[in-house]
Amino acid sequence: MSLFWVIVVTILVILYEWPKMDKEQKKEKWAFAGLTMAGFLLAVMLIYFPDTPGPNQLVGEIFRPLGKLME
Amino acid sequence: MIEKGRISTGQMVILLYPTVIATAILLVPGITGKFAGNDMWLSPIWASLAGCITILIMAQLHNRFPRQTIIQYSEEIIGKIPGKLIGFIILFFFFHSNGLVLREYGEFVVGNFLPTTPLVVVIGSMIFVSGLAVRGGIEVMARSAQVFVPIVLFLFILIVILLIPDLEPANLLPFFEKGLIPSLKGAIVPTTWFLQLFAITFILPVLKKKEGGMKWGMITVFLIMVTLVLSNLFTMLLFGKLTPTFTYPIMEAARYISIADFIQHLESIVMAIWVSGTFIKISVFYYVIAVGTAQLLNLQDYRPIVFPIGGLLAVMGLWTAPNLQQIQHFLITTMPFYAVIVQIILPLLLLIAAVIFKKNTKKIN
Repeated sequence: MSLFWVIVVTILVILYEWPKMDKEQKKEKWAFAGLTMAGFLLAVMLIYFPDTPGPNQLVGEIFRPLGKLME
Repeated sequence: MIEKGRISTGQMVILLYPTVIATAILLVPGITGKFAGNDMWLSPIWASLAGCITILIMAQLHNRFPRQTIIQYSEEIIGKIPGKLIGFIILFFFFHSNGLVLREYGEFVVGNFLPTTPLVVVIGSMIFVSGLAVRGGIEVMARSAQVFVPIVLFLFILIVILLIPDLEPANLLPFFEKGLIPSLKGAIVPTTWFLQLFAITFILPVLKKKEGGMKWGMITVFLIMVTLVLSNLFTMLLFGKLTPTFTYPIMEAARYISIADFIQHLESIVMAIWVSGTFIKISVFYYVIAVGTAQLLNLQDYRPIVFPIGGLLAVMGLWTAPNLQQIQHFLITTMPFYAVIVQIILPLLLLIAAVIFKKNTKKIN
């Protein structure tokens, strides 16, 4: 996964989806922009910092005391 | 109502069955074997109780709020902000589990069949195909499930039949060597899979007929239980005490088949079962996330956000764990508690709150 492909995919998604939305669909446009942005930023972050603790570590920490029962 | 399509109860079963089976059939026998030993065929029966409880809770909530999903009625039951918070937790859970499923799928395909293909390509192409199905709506998904599930069932039965000559019944003995406890312990991990029937909350509101949702939900639980018992039983009869040493026992079982040196390399059949089943599973989870997010944000249409969510899912799949071993560790130590809290305790509390405050949509209408 490289930055180039992340940018290409993001642009393709925007080009495909943006013209399909009406002018009235303001909320949809905001949600679309927000989610696309979030995905893009996370992807870029993972390219430069691949070892960032992921959701598994986060949730694993919360349940650690219970998890010991299963080991 | 955000989804215009309507499906029948039969289509609901055909959607939910692979949603549980697809990944369960490959990873679960090995994990169950670790805990339950040669009583592992019994574990799915205990675990199916969790499936019944989930369906029961979801059906009760559905009776109170017939045309809404959990994301919407949680707001009505406990107010706007706590309701949104619960919706967010549920969606995060589905994001995370779908990331895990995608990663399991990717690791399986790369590990067994396409060793030089990058993981991101395998995961990305699956997300693209599922995204198209989700964009098409629940009817399209149900019809694609109608195409794939019979094939999956046929191939599964074919493998089971071809294995019969190699089975060793003595592997089952002794029954209950250490009492019922090992089989109950082995049931903990499959429970997580039965809890995935939670997704029924997004399917019940789009059924053509209001009645029968719960009955057919229970039938789904039963079908899944039978399939898991069969796959555990057959891997146990074939490999005996070796079962827990395999990551994918069914896969190894299919590799083992060799009849007259002619019918061989049937692992490609397992691959076909896995890919088509996982496609339905990922689509259903993807659909839950897309519709749920749209409802959480009060959008009129969920289709514009399908592909952006796909991008997030790809990131989630790659980010979730460094390798398959870590995923397995997570599935054993964390997932059971995580899933029980999100998929049983949260809805149960909502149901209790709804009963106490006498909340339902019928009064408002």
